[in-house]
Amino acid sequence: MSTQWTVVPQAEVPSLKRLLTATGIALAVAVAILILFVLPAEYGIDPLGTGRGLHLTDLASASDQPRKPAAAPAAPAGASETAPEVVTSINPVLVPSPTGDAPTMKNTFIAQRRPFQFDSREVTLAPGEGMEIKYNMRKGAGLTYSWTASATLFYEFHGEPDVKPAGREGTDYFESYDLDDKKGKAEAHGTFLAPSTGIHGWFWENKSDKPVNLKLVSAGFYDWIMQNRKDKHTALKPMDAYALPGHPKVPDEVLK
Amino acid sequence: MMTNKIGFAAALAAIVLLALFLPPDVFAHNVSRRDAAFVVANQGRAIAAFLYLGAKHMVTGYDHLLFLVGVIFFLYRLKDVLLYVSLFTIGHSVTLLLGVLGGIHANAYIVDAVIGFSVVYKAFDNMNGFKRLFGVQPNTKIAVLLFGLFHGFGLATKLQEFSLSQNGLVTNIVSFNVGVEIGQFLALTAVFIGLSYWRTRTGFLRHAFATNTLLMAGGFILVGYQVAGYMVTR
Repeated sequence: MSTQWTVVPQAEVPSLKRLLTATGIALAVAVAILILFVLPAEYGIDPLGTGRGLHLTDLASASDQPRKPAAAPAAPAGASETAPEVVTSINPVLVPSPTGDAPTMKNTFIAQRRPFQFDSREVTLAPGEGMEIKYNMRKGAGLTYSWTASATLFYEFHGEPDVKPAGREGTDYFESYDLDDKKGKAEAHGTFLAPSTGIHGWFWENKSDKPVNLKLVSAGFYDWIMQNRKDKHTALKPMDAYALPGHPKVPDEVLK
Repeated sequence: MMTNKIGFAAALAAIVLLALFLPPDVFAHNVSRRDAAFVVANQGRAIAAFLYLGAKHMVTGYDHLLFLVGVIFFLYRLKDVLLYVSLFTIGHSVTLLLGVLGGIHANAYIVDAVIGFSVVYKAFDNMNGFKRLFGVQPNTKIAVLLFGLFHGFGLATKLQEFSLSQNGLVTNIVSFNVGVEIGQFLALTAVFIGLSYWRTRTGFLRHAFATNTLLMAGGFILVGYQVAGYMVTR
């Protein structure tokens, strides 16, 4: 039997007691390490308070903060080649109405070369957890969005331009559009015109001690979605609005 | 005697290091942010880039590595190492290709939990646990093949997180797969050399049981980490 040589017999088959003890120890060590260190640091789950004591839970929330984009999803060189920027300047002008009606806005029409993308997602933020969702948009690209949460979230709507201002090259420079880290909100809605080519979106943080459910829907001109969650930076694929089920079958409903 | 202790301590330290002290991006066990941007933006064939990504994923993928350490722990001859690693390779290549090309979306947390369990299984097997409990030794080759299938799904979910361009898709996935094999070969060579050296010391068998207990603990941690992740993100 060749296996005698290929799989060299170990010392001996252990006694049942030894086997069970070892397995028990392995399980106990694993559970202890998980509860004491891994869960608090990774997810902010901290049943014994050891994470707070050792400041490991900071890791769970801090690691999701906006981050140095030395390795930013700095729109890969290839992206800009395949789809050159459409807009070089955005100059909306408010024109007063001669009749005294509401003023009109000029130069607000920005043509795009491709259909808009669509995104709808729902996540649950654990107590203390922070996360980001940002859209990769070119300058002048528009975004219409709504997010609603089951409870108050602190947030910052911000963007990281691919090209940093002079003197800030290589830093984690970002521009803040809307910051609420005092009271927080449970919903926000708006339209947004990207002032620069880069990634634009939100950092949310659940500072309560209960999980908070967050729903985000948006439609706009973006290529992909950057999710920064649990220390994972993931590039996600947007949905194709044309491919939504039932698209051609929506009946005409008369609103009364 | 002294060197035995040092060897054992080194193995211990290596496993603990693998499990705990890898930098966050490696611990997160995904293709990093910049790589992600590349994968999404990439149009068409990029053989070298996907080769590199596959190799990088394997060399820094501690869960695959822990499992392979368990698999070759008691394999003394290079021929057998090649046989078992080939079985593992066949397994994960099948599911990687099927998963990505067939659009089979497995839940990454569940797949990674099963991968963690494969470490527990192999460690328990190395401890002769099945012989003791059931009086039989389950076929180790089939086990490696089956768990290889799950590891492949794990690899597939990592690639599926991105919108892969249909343009050159097959070439790119095959390149990624070949890269995985290259990375696996590099990592295994290092592990095999280390183990071979350790085996020449008299303490190897004595410490084998304890080392596999530790390996098992590492597997349990991976399972718990992923199951918790699954529950948190539901």
